Amino acid sequence: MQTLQAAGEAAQAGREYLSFVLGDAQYCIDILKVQEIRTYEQPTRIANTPAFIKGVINLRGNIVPIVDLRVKFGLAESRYDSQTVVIVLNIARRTIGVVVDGVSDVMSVPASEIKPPPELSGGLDTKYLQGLATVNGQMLILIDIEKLMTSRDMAIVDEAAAAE
Amino acid sequence: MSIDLRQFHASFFSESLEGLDATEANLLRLEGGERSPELLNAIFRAIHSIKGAAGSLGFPQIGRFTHEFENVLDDLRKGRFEADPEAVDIMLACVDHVRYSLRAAQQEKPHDPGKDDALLGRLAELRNGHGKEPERENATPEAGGAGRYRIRFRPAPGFFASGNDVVKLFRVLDGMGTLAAKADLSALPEEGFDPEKCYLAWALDLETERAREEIADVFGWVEDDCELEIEGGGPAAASKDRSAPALPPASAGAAPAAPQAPERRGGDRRKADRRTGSRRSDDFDPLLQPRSDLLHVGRAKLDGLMNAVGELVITKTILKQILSQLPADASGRFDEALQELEHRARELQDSVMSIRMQPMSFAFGRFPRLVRDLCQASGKLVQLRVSGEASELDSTVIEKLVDPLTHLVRNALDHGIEPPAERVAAGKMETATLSLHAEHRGGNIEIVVADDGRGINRERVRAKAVELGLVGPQDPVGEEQAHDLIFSPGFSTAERLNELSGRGVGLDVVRKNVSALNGTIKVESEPGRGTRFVIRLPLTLAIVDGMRVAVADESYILPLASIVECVRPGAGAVRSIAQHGDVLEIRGEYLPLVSLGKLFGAPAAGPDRGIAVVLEADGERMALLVDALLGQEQVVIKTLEANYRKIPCVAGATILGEGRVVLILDVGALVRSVESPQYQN
Repeated sequence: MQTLQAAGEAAQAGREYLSFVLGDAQYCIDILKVQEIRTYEQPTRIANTPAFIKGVINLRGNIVPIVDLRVKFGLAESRYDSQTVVIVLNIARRTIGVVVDGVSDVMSVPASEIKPPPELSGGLDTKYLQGLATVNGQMLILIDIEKLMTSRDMAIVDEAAAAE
Repeated sequence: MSIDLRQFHASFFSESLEGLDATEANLLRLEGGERSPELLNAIFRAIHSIKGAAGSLGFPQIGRFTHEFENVLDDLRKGRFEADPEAVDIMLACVDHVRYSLRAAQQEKPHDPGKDDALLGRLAELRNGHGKEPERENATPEAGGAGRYRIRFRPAPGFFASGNDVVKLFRVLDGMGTLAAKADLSALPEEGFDPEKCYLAWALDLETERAREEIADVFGWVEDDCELEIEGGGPAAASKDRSAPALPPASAGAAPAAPQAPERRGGDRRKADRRTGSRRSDDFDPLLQPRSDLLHVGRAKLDGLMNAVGELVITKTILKQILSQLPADASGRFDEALQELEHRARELQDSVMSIRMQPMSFAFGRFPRLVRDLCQASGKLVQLRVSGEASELDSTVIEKLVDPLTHLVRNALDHGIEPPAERVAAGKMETATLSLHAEHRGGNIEIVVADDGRGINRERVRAKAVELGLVGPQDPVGEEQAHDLIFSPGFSTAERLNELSGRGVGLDVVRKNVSALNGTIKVESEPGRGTRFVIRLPLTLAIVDGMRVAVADESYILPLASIVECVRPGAGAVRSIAQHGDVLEIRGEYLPLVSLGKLFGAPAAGPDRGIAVVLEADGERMALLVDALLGQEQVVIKTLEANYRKIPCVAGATILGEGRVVLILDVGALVRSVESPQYQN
């Protein structure tokens, strides 16, 4: 109960989010899950994995998988240029890199601004959304990145490990 | 201001758990009939230290339980009851309970007081119900409050010649309490001083809570080489009867007037020490290394160090590459320094590896208890023989070996070893032998689990295989094939599942676990004579000698140990067999040929232009077609599972000199994927 209450209070105060661009939409994730932001480098391909798994990179001696969310969300074209960045996340005691078109801003979103998401068609299942929010006249899609990354859909975490 | 006690918890848990392991082993020795005071004291002290620490570190429940347990053990060492199998059972249950409580506390789970009470009740019964006459009431004098001892210690002139050191003795005594020493110089000669002789004697005043026995024990190793008198002591000690022969006489010195008794006493003492010498415990011989020479280091720290060394090796390779691009006149002195660096890096790597090595006894240590419990449950008689437990192995490997070994041991007890009556009927010894053996062979370790039971029944294996549809009803099953079939999933010839090994896990899991460690497992069996499982493993998981191969613009590492040979397939050596893919003919033998490019979806050269690498795992061979060989390399294995997941046919990854990640192939899985066509693309 206490944690629920604490979470509720934090939500009232408004959390900090990192917003980024995928295609023509703005998405947001909890800033506390973000470890660092890097430029994209060609990962080592892993055979027989879904197309959105770009491979693995060497992050200071750790082998880190790289997920291209644009491919996962079924966005038309995935370009890899100087704007392309990798958001390195810390999720479920793992380090995972996520490719996005560009990082925009760190912003505080008051909990009162977050509205439940409508049923969307397209690549992203609404169960991975925290909601929609409008900040400074711009619509933001809040992703529950931990839920998404540990989901069976992504197949990043072994099922046995996910059940831990 | 209060001290945060939590900083001591980690070492309390690890030391207490170690103490419990030792106690368990000691209780089993007790059950085996051993009754030395050293053994009884060791059991008592282990629980005593847990009690003390638990109380002061804020685990009152564990403290309370161990306190009661300790009281019973105190009665035991005083001979107030006999350690019959039932008593040992209860005490083992208590050890289990303490271990469980410690683990619960470690994970900050609440303590379960119900179990406490049940066991405490049984302990009370043990103390009262077994109320026999004490057998050796002289066993150990009680430590009844602080006592003052006067010790007169006169080493023989040749004292130093046998490698003795008085300072060490004094240090141990000093550790027991307050020590005041006065040297007697009267025997020093005016002339003809021989520096190798001892002319000194000491009068020592020791104030301690320890028993007289323990003080006498300090001199245990040197009592043949000195005159020793111990006087005084606490009230309890003073009132004890010391006439029984099992007790060291208070004056244990080699006083010339009584040469026989001390001599015998000295001999016994050494024998006893030798017997216990293999144990890690330092309880008995205070001259052994103190425990503070051992450090408890968290695994994460060690892994961090290992990673850092790996990085260093990579950085060194980068430096080397840069150097090779410099003009020759500039690189001369660099080259020298770099070679030095290379040398040091290798040294560092070796020492870090050696820290991670642990003796196999860490894995074997649990089996005496398991075998005992299983025997008790099944009524079988089994003698466990453990050998080669000092062989060292990477601690991560040991950890991952425990499960497969446990399974093999359970398997042997359940399926292999017959009940006593059946053994006698077959003309065998009533008591079966189960042996565990470990041995280094080259860069590998070989672990053998062997029993002299009924062996593998080929007919039953065949019947089961037919039932599972692994072979046709008419197919003949050879010995080797039968031995291979038992590793198939779902395979168990046990007529019914039982408590012992019927937990739905088969030998297929054992093989999987062993392959995950880059190892292989084989079985040899003779009907009626027994079964031998042989596990071969590399000594470490952290480093592998590899061959880097290229496919299109990608490269992969193959463990060198699994490469048999590399051949350039000649014209006509590769043939296609409908539904079975390609085969490669080498010297009249046909091996399945798989293109790595095709398997991993990379555009690769055709079979006529590539190189076939013949691989072997689990006794099976295959040929893997690659575009080119890039050379041998020693690589540091990194797991993909830390941040990602297990990938079929990939054992791990490594980072090359230029910082690029390269995957290391899992040859065992590759070979298996060829065997079972459903995995093929």
